[in-house]
Amino acid sequence: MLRMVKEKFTKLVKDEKGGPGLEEAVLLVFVGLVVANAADSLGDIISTSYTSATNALKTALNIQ
Amino acid sequence: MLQTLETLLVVSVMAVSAITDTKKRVIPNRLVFPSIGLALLFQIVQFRLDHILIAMIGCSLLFILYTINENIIGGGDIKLIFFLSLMMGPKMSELVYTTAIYVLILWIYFYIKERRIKEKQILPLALALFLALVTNLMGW
Repeated sequence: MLRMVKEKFTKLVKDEKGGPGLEEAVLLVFVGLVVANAADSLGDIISTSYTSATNALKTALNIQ
Repeated sequence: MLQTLETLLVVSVMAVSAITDTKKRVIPNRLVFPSIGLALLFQIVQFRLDHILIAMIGCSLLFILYTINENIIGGGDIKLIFFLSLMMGPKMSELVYTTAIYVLILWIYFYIKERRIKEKQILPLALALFLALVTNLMGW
């Protein structure tokens, strides 16, 4: 498994090919949109949690 | 100053990649590797580790797709997206949405061309990425 990943990675480093085929492009865009949307949501969750945790700490430690 | 240099680097690299990808369907390693090196240097100098993390996570997902089927995305494209993610960081998600719109436009054009000349067409992803980058930088 690890050897296969290593081989693929070596191939990727050498590969200069650009552009997916038309059928594959649809799948790629779909995956891209899902990942970007998930990353946005995760970013929002982290940001909200960070703000509320910081506020709670400030309140607990009586810092303005 | 550094911001201007970064913008100049990303726009010029993307423009050259868009041209080579459209003309020959190739994104040269001798363009991408030095660019990745410079981009890494820019991010390390400015302590922007989030950019490096975003680029690594994003490209790991693309690498999984590449491992499953090499036709889904070209190796040149993955390295170019790694460079772009390094430079754009969290703004990359906005760029993905804009790229999707340009891919749709290019897809329609190449689909019509494929039907007309009866020859399998390959979509130049670097061109869509470049157009999306320009659109985002202009703030449209």
